[in-house]
Amino acid sequence: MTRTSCDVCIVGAGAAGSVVAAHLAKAGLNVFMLDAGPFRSPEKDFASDELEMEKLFWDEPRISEGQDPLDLYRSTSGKGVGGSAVHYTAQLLRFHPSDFQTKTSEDIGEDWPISYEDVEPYYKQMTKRLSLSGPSTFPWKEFGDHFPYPAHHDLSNNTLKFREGLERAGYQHSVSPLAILSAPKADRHPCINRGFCEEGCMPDAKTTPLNTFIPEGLKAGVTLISEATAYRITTDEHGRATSVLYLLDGKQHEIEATTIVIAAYAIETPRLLLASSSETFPNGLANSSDLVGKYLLTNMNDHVLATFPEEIRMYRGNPVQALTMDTYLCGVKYGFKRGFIMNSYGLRPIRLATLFFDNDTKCVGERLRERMLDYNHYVSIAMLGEVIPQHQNAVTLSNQKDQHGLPIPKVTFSHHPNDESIRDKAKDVMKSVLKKAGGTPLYHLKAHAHLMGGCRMGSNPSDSVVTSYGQSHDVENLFIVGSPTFVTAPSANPTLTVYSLAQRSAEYIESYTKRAKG
Amino acid sequence: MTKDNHPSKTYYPTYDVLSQKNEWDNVTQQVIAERLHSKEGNVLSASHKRTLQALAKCLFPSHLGEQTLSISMVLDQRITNKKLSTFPRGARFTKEEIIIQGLENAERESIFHYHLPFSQLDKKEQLSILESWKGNDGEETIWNAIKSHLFYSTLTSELIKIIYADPHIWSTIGFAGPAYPRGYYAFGPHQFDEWEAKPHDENLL
Ligand SMILES: Cc1cc2nc3c(=O)[nH]c(=O)nc-3n(C[C@H](O)[C@H](O)[C@H](O)COP(=O)(O)OP(=O)(O)OC[C@H]3O[C@@H](n4cnc5c(N)ncnc54)[C@H](O)[C@@H]3O)c2cc1C
Ligand code: SF4
Repeated sequence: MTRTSCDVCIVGAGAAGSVVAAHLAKAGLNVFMLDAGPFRSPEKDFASDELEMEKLFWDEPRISEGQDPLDLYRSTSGKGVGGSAVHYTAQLLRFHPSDFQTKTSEDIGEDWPISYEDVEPYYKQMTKRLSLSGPSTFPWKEFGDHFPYPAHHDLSNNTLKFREGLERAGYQHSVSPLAILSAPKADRHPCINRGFCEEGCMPDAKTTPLNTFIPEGLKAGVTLISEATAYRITTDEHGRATSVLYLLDGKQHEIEATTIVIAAYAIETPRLLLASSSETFPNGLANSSDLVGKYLLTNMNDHVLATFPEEIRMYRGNPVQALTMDTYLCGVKYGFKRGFIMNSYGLRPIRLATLFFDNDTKCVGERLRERMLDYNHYVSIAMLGEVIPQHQNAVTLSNQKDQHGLPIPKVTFSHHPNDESIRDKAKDVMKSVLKKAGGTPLYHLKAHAHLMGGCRMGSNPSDSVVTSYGQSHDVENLFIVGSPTFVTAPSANPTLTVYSLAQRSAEYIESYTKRAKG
Repeated sequence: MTKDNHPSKTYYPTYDVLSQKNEWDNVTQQVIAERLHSKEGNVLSASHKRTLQALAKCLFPSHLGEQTLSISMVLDQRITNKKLSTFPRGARFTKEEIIIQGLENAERESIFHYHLPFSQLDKKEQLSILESWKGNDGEETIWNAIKSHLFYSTLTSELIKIIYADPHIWSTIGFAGPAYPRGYYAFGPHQFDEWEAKPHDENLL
């Protein structure tokens, strides 16, 4: 076993981990960052191909059970430097002020220990650092404002029809705020409308950790170790975290650190904590509340497809180009809580054919072929719906072992009745929008996107795992960053908040670590 | 368009995505070339492959007339390259384990009922076995750990991915395929780039 030491060791080089690493290295700390997957170059390691680019997803076994078992692969995972943000669709929105207080405002879910005002300065900072493009007047200012790059103007037929339907149905609509360049920036070119954003952006027009925080961090001296899987956090007799044990090339290694940061997304973060149980922490690390792994969250991301007489060709341009937020809090009007947003959402053939089969196991052979022959006549739109936090939705460790002898995580998920109300309403609204646009709605395809929760933040150690800075209530020098700390699953996409809260945590971790080092 | 006047055939009989392949970036060209001329993997046996081919013909009868990949070779390659190492939803076996064990079970079931390998059965007999798997656990003596419905859904999902990764299928549905470094520049209703399939709906404009 090799042994190294540093000031801060970060597990996971995705959206959150890369922000923290860049900040701490620039602040003069000695930072090591591990990622379980490879360090890929868009030009050499990406292809314009759905099947090939499955290599970006998490490729190790996970058990997915419950009444509504989640897909833990295609839409909810990433493995490799840059994390899931390498192949995100890059619609980046702020959360709404009410998202941080759903318990107080609508008596559902739980309040966050922070408010919109706490995050706002970081939203502003990240909007600039990520070179977001968006309209000069965004109808819903709480969700985004002052975009440094102009809105994308090459809108696909899929998007034009969606906006036409919204216009006729009386909804406001707008081009989406995107972390996609609409004009050149230094040596990066603007988007060429290739459409394979969810397969990784070869032209590098999409802003991801790979062209921002990772190079910034490396320049400032971060030691990045790829294809290194952390499997245990060790602790000493005082209950402090001492080191990260990881596997690289089949061998075990150890990094000792003053501060340890886990940024391994919503399944692997609780998995690592639970697998790090010891005599001092028999229930798993940072788990005195028994809430590690609990309140796992996702978003509903159902699509509705309608046929149109003319050719649409939904493969053209980035998948998600326009949206409406008018339905964000529509539940109040219809007798349920919270709500959803709607997007135009183009699908490539494998994704569409798979969704057809996932939603109807009879859709094979001739039935699938008939549907797919109409591919160029479909308009596809999608909702992103809030999912209510539930204690029973959880990541636990199973008795089954993986190839390294480590326990395989088990994810249990079932929807709350409120989720179903949101889903039903969104289906009706999407159908009516498509009808207004002149289409014939045919298919409602259920799906999910994003993972959050599993290590929720809070002020009280008995009902949360970490503070709003991600610091463990139980283990002072252990931090968790990224979407696992989320308390609720707002229907605005999560990653602008992931980046922003990671920056907020990074500043806290900097002062904590400098103090701890003496 | 309604079901009654659905053509059940391609709108783009002359379109060939592959005619554009020299415009694709090198990495994508190589990926697609390897898929089209897939080499033998080293996991599936000859008997697995025979059963698999027969099943694919039952599951995707008309696609297969259009589709040009060797499904069994591509699947074998994917298994060999550890692409099927995750569990499907609701399962505690890898996709690889489910497919290999399922192919063996299919063979056993065929011999049990008809005293012949699956690939040598009549289409009607093959379809009746396949039909019995859908939504069912399967014959207890044959399908014990891995249930027949799990094999059916896992195999079908994997085959769907391979079929819709075939450039010839892309041509039939009018999908323009890889688009780097070229991108799309013609936007607005009825505007398409000249290298895409020619619009077939011009008479509707
Ligand atoms: C297809 C897709 C589309 C999306 N679209 C959008 C969108 O439009 N807008 C939006 O806001 N969000 C979107 N998202 C979500 C977004 O990608 C995530 O919210 C974000 O990446 C989460 O950041 P993270 O740092 O918490 O996790 P990640 O970015 O996933 O990073 C986690 C990293 O940890 C590594 N890791 C895990 N376990 C270990 C271990 N044991 N040892 C070492 N390393 C480990 C992983 O390899 C990974 O690189 C999308 C996601 C997907 C998959
Ligand atoms: S559509 Fe734009 S952002 Fe998406 S992959 Fe293509 S160039 Fe990149």
